[in-house]
Amino acid sequence: MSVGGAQFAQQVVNGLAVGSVYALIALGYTMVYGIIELINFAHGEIYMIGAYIGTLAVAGLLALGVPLLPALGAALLAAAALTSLYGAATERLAYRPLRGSSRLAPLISALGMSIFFQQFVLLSQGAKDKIFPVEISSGGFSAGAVKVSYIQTAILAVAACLMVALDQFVRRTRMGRAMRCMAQDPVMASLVGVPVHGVVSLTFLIGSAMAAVAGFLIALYYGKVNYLVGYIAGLKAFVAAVLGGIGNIPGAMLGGLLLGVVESLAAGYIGGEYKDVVAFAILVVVLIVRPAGLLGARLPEKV
Amino acid sequence: MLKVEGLRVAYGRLEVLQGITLEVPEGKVVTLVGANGAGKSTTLMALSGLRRVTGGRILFEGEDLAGLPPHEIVARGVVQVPEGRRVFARMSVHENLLMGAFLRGRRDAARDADHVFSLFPVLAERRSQRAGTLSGGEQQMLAIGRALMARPRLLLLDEPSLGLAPTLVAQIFEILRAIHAEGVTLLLVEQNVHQALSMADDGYVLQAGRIALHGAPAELLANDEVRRAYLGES
Repeated sequence: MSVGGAQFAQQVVNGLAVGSVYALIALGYTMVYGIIELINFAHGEIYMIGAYIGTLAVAGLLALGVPLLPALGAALLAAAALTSLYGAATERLAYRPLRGSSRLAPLISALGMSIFFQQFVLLSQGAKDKIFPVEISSGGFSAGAVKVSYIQTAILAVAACLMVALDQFVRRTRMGRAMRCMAQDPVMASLVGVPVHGVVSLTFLIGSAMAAVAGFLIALYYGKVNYLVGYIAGLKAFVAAVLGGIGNIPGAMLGGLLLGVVESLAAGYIGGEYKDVVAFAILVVVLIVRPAGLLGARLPEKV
Repeated sequence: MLKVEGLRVAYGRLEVLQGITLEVPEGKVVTLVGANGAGKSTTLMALSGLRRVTGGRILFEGEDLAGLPPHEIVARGVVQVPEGRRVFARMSVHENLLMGAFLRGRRDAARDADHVFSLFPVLAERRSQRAGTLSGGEQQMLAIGRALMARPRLLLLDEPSLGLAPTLVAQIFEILRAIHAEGVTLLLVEQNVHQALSMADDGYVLQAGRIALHGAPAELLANDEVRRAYLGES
């Protein structure tokens, strides 16, 4: 492979790793929007909380003498489980009581929850970066001049597994079908016996667990977290969801990967400081050409 | 089976149902007719738990359904085919039927789907087609089939013939007769007053949120006021 080709391939690999993290977060935005038409602005903070819980859990488990790999696995599961409770509790306390009121009310409540979670983590964990307790080997696999680090491999593998699992869940299971029905016609869903509140809670549980996994993987990747990481990651993931077509699950996956790759290419060829410019410029262009997003076949239909 | 006593529903300060009393005995067909905006759909929505009841009781086999969430009402066997069919357009015909059986076991659902396909052979031909691509009549059949999948004891039907060609209307009523013959009790809301009264055991006329008339279909059909208001006769 030529030097230019190798550089391109390397940027794509880096982009796919970051992009699959965007995609995991974007799924939470898009699922919640699909079901209750709420942009959950606290979702970025849920991701940040997942990163913290994962980091703290790894430190705790290592201190107890648990070997590294089991500690990482257990911390990942703990982060997903606990963070999903944060997400579901947010819905129960801050959004559900506002259902049936104006559409603006839950949106503002979501912004409030976002600030609340940032301050909560700031006060309880401090403003300094929390350093991931272990340094993961920077080694990896290489094909020619293209390197895929172990952490990138883990990110890609975990994200791919979760996306396939989610897709199968939504397509083939009873509760997955119930979610799709809610997205199409919540009133009719309740008339066939779908417990509407239960499905909304389940959606928040799943979306938050995936955000927590994303947070954990990124903490591992960059080696640190702080209480502000949810803001920009949440924004990027929201862009990814809109890019793919908000409410559309494959769209969020595609949008996340695409955004990651475009950013990475921009950083590699134009310069790191331009990557956000390019990413948002592409969003603007896509929204002009396809207002419903890449895979959004139509604008949200409401009878 | 169903006794509605003094049912009141309000949207804000506007009281849409001002104390409705009606009864649907087990095994019968009862029809509720009335002009647009009289409160027919609101009545069915309240029975299904989709409108907050501000007064009165909805007794189903002695239990008050008022205040229960919709899925609990479905679980008790009170199932609605809402106005406008509302099939899940982006799901296949088969998936729509499976959703109808959401509260029931997988094996029961498979058997009942076969039964629905025998009632509506056209749905069997289109089982893997997206519901949104069906014609209006086929969508209505699917909406009824989906409701049957919940094993209703009392089926609430909101304007099942609305917007259908006359031959399809006749076909839908034929199917309702077959469903009734299988032992399902029906509460039928219709604008097609003639058809509805012709198959009903009992009829109520709703006017501006109140029951204006109640009687046997023959009586209602003979009533001058009904003829003038709903049958287009002068």
